[in-house]
Amino acid sequence: MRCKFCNVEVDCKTHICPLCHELVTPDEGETLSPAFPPKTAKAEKKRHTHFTATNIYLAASFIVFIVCLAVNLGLRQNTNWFLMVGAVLLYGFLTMRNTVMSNNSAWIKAFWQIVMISLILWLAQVVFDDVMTDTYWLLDLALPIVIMMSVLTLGVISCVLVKRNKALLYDTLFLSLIGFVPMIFFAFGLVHMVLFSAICAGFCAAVIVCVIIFARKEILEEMERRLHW
Amino acid sequence: MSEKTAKWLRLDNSAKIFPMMADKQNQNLFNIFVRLNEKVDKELLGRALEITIKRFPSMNVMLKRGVFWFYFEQHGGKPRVYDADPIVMKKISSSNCGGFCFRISCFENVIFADFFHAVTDGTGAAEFVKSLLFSYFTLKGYPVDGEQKVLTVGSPVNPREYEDSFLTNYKKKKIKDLTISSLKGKKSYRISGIRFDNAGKGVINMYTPAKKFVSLCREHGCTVTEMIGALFILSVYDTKIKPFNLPPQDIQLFVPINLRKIFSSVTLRNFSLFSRIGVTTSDGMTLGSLTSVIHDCLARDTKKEVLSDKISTTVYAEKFLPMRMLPLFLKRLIFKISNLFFGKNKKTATFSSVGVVSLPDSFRPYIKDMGFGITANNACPVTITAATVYDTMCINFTRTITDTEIEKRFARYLTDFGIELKVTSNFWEVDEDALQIL
Repeated sequence: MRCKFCNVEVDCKTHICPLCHELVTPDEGETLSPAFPPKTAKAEKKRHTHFTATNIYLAASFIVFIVCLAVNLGLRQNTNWFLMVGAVLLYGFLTMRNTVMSNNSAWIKAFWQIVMISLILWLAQVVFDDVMTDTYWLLDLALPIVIMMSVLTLGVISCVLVKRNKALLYDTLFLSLIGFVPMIFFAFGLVHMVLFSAICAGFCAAVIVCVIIFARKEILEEMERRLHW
Repeated sequence: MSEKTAKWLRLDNSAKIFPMMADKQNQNLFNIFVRLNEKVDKELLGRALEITIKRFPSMNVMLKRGVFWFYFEQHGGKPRVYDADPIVMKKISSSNCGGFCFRISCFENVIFADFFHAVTDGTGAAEFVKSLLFSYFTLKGYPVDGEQKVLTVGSPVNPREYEDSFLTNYKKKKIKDLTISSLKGKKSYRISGIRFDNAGKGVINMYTPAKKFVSLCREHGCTVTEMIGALFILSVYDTKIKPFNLPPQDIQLFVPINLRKIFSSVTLRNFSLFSRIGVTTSDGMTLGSLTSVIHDCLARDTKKEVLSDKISTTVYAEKFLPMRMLPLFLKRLIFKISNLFFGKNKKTATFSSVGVVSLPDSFRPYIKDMGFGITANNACPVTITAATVYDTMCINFTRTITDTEIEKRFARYLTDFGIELKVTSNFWEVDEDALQIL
C-alpha cells in the first residue's frame, strides 16, 4: 500500500503511514505482516508503575517507623527503642538491595551483612545501655560470632554449589581473611577477652587452608581473572 | 582455542568503557533484524543458536566484575530464543537474557539479534547472525551453502578471531605524541523533542533498491555514506533548526569506522574507532557542500597513521599505571562523573554506515531483507544506520523522541530524487488505542 502524501510504499501491516500518520488503504489481496511486535499497554506502562516491591516495602517501613516513634515518644519511655525498629527496617531494605537483588560477589554481600549486623548490635548497645552495661560483648563476642557464621554460611553454600559456581570458593577464601580482624582489634587493645577472637581466627585459618588444599587450582584461576589489571 | 581463553577473556580496549557507562536506563546496544520470507520457527532457531554459539567462543560469555576491570567468563549455559519484546533494544540484563551479552528473539517472520557493544561490534555481530541463519536454514532442510562467506559451525576457530586488535596494533608512544585532542568532541547541537516517557524507542526502517541509490550517489559524485550523512544533516536543519530561526548550530555526526580492512584484522570483537563530522548550519548549506565536508572529514579520519595514533592513545589510557591501579568502582565513578560534566552534547546523532553485508546467494530465497539499528538515548536522541544486503539497502532510524519529522524530511529528499522507498515502523509514537481503532 502506498502513502500518497509521502510517496512511499508502506511495507508492514498497518492502516497509517509511518512517516506522516495519514490513513493508508491496503491494496486488494495484499497481505503484509507487522514488522515489530505490537505495542502493548504492559510494555509501555511497565516502567511507570510505582507499586514495586521496594516502594511498597519503603512505604510500609515508614508507616511502621512513624507508629513506633509516636508510641515510644508518646508514652515517654526511657528507652528509645524506635531507633532499633528503624535500624532493623533499614537493614531489611539494604539486604534487599545489596544482597538479594545485587550482582555483587558473594564475599562483598557477606561483608556488608557483617558490617550491617555489627552496626545493629552496636545500636542495640547504645539504645539499651541501661540494661546492657557491659560494652565489651560487642567486639569480644558478637563480632567474632557474626564473622564465623558468615564464613560458615558462605562455606556451606560454596560446597553445595561448587560444581556450578567455582568462584564461590574464592569468595569464601576472601571472606575468611576478615576472620583475623578481631585478633587485630585484640592487638590494638580493643578486645579484652581473646577466646572468641582466637576461635574466629583459627576457624577462618582452617577454612583458608582447606580451600587452598582442595581447590588450589580453581583459586589461582579465579584470582588471575579477578585481579587482572 | 587455548584452555586459558576458553575460561575467561579480558575485555578489548574499546569494550572496557561500555559496562562502565551503562546505567539503569542506558546501555550501548545495537541490533540486527532479519525479515524472512516465512514465519520463524522459534524452536528450530533455538536449536540453531545452541549449535552456532559453540563456533563463537568470544560470544559464549558472561560479563563479570573483577577488582580492577570487568572481564568475560565462559558461559556454562545454553542461550535461548525469546519472544521479541515490544520495546526495541531493551536493556540486556542477566535476568532477561540468561547472562549472555546478546539476545536473540523473534516475532512472526522477523529475527532480532540485540548485542551489548562490550562483546562485539557490528561486523562481529553480522558474522554471528550469518552463521545463525546458516544453521537455521540447514536445520530447516533448505539447500544452503556457506560459499565461504559464513563462519560455519564446522569451520575451525581462528585464534585471531578473538584477539584484541587494539593491542595487536598498539605502538608505544610518549604522552606528548598522543592525539588526545582528536578524541575529544566539542559542544554540538542536540536534537530536541518530546521524549517517550519510558524505555521505548521509535523505529522507522526505509528499504530502497541499492543499485538505484548508488547511481544517485554517482550522479552527485559522492559515496553512499556521504549522501546519507548529508541528507540527514539537511533533514535535521530543515525540521529542527530552520523553522525555529535558531542561530547557526554545530551539528556533529558520530561515525564509527571499521578498522578491520585497514589493519588486516579478522577479530570478531570490537575493532572500530570513530570520526566526528562537524558542520555549522547556515542557509547556504547544499547537498554538494555537505557531501564535500563529510568526504574531507572521513578522508582525514580514515588515514592509517591517524587511526594508528588514535589506537595508541586509547590503549595508552588503558595501560596508564594510575588508571590500571584504580579499583573498578572508582574507575566507574570517575567515568560517570566525567561523563556527567563533559560527555553531554558532544554529538548530535550517531550515523553508522555498515556497508554491504555479504550473504551467500543460497540464502536469497529465504531472506526478505536485513538491517542494523543502534540504540538511541537522551544524550543522542536519534541514530541512523545504513546497511545493504543483496540488492536492498536498509536505512534505520531509531529515536527516543516522539516526532518523525526528520525521517519524513529525509524520505522526502529521497523520493524527490526518484528513489523508491518501502517503509516500516514500530509506531511507538502512536497511542495504542488509536492503533486499534485505526
